[in-house]
Amino acid sequence: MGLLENKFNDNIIVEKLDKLLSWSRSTSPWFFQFGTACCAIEMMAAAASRHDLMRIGMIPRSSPRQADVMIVAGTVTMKMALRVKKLYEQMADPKYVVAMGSCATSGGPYWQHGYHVLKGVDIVIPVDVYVPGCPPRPEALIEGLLKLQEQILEERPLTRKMA
Amino acid sequence: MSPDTEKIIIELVLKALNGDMDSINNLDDRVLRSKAKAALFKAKKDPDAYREKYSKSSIPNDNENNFKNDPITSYVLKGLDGDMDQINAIEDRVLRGKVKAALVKAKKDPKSFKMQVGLKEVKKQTIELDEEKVDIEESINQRIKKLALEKFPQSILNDDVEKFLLVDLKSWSSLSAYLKTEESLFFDSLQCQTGFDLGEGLLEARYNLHSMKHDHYTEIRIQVTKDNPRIPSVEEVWRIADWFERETYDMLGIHFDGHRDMRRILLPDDWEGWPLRKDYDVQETYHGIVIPKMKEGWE
Amino acid sequence: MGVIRGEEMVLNIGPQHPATHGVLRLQVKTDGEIVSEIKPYIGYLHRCFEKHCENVTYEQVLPFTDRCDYLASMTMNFGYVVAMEELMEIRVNDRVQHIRVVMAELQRIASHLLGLGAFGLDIGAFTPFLHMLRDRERILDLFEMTCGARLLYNYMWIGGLSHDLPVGFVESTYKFLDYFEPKIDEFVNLLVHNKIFVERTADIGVMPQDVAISYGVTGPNLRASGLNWDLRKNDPYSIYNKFDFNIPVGQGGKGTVGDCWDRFYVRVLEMKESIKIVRQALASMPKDGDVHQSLPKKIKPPIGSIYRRTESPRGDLGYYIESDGSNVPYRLKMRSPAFTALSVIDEIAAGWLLSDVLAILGSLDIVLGEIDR
Repeated sequence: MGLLENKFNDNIIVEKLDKLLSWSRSTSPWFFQFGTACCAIEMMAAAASRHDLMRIGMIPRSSPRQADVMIVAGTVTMKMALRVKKLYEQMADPKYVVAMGSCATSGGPYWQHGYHVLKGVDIVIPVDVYVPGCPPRPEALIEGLLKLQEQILEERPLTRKMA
Repeated sequence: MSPDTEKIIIELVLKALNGDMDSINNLDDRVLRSKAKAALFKAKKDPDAYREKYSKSSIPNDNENNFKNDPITSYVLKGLDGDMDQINAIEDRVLRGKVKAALVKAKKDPKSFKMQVGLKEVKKQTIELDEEKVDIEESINQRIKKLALEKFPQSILNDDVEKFLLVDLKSWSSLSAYLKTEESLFFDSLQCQTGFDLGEGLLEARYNLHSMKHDHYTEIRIQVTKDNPRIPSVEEVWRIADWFERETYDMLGIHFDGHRDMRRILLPDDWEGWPLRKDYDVQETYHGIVIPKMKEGWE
Repeated sequence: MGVIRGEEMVLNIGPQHPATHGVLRLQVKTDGEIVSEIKPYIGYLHRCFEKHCENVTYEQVLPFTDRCDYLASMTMNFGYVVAMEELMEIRVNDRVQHIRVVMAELQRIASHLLGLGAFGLDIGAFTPFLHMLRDRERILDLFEMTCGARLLYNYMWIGGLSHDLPVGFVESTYKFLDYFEPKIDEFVNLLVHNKIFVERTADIGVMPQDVAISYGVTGPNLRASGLNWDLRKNDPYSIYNKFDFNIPVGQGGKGTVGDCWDRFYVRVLEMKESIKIVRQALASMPKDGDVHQSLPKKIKPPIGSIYRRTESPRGDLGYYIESDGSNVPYRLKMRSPAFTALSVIDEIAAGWLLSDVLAILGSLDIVLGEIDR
């Protein structure tokens, strides 16, 4: 801006490349449907016709290699935890993780006597947004995803980070 | 059976012998209905003898006549039927108040009030009710015990077979095949197989069997010790026992001899310990993930 | 796996796969097209339900039973409550019984809708799935009106219910039933008699009756093989013996008796029967009655054990409860119908093409939460 302002017609926008990149990333994150348990049904309901997830730009993909966001919906057990880590590593950068439901956040109703339940998926993979609820309503999931989109918008991928 | 249930059954059977089947058919309680029907079947073989035996106890048919001794109860019963005029016409204020209070209490559960009252009166008036219980025809468990002890001596270890049959370990494989193939029993489906930790070093496996053809049920229990928990497998007889036994092995550590593929089914293969035992202590880590100890209460 | 011939390979389907209904791993031995052996591996969702039941009180077990079969939580609650009331000899009043039947049958319709939609999705038909979910949302609206939750209700308590029916429930249900009945016929035209669907499901995965009984398969899967067995008629619980409804049995409409098409069609017909039951229950529901009337003050059942089965949309669900007189169960085992339905997959799917295996798996209508508990 500054030197270049008001020198062009109205149909030319001047903006930083950083912002363009993060804007385009935030408005079409394709999600990797990793549904384990009851929250997976609410995720499917959120993608169905009443609460449409596609209108905010998210399309369900079945392979981790084609997805940007992994929505961990449901309880993660010890047996599954190793596979979750593998799937996360198969996703290409930039990648984000949403922990949906109480079980993925902190173990859920099984926190006390569940010997086989992982108490929160953030023990094995880094999480960006937590959506609480048991199960969270589709509206709550959509709010969580919009928050994720705001987070992505704040990123500056090309700027060198100072220390 | 409790003495109260017995008396209700006797009353219902007497009514039915006189031709009134509605009182039995309208019972909501499935267990009571079937017991009453079984007693009726037996009584129909010789109805006169039954009537003589039990009518001596003079169980009243209608409640009204017997409550001259207890005026409050008679007024309450009238009020439950909807007749409030008599109550409102009582001149004694104290009695009227008592009746109304009792009526409020009885309205909460009218059926049980009526039953209680009926039985109280029966107790007051019955003189000789025979001690012997109403005999239901031979149950399926007794039939199995008879047939099994004929073919495989020493296989059934418990005497009171009303609820379950305790089977000896060594005869279980032959007995299971017999239960499935014998025409009059024909237990062709294994409904549920459970493992139990009874404490004191004993483990138990329970089998719930059902016959689709004859529609009867039975329950079989086998006990083993914790030092040597091995039971012969029945997966050749009932194919679903394959997965049920693997689950019991996984949760309790009971090993089934002769199973084609005895390994864990729900937990990972390298898990240590048998979780559903009462003295189970969870392991420290699993592949590097720390497992927190079971929390008691809020921390 | 034994000996593997040179032309054969071992292929892993799952545990994360869009067509397996949850986290299920199938280890398939195939030569590229024809499958010779299938081994299911389960346990990826084992949430220690039975260990939890040994440490919490009887009322606190109810939300855990919800989460086992999350597509049919009302019927899971129903089964537990029926078993406990028989153990403790509690009787509930007529209004509670009628409401319970209405809720259980509506839940059966909702569960079948999702199961059939997911089966269509596996075959490749995307549109019926969206139609099913749209109609299911209306049933979830009715449930939300009553108890506030969309998926996991904790509605049926031991001795009664948690909330009474709100004002306007009966009218809304009648409106929904009038709206929904023609939709079943629309759905039948769209998918059931569709030529592609019939080609992909008829004569595939035939399950004979004696195999089904030996493997403990029950519910619509057993009825599709020709046996007329329904716990609501053969071993009635609650007030099911007062209603008049038929039991649809598979008759080999488009192929052999007991194939995938039969299992699909039996569920469609069951939805129609459930609508009949709901109408009768609403018409005969008593207007007054307190749903909290028979709630016990303390739940301490007598010492003893009970095994009780009820009919869930997937088969017969059994609860084996052993009590030692305290307010915490000594042992509680849930016998789940989908566990036995999955165990039969090796028997009926070996020898078919790889794409048929997924069709057969979809027709069994399994839910992993119930299998792993």
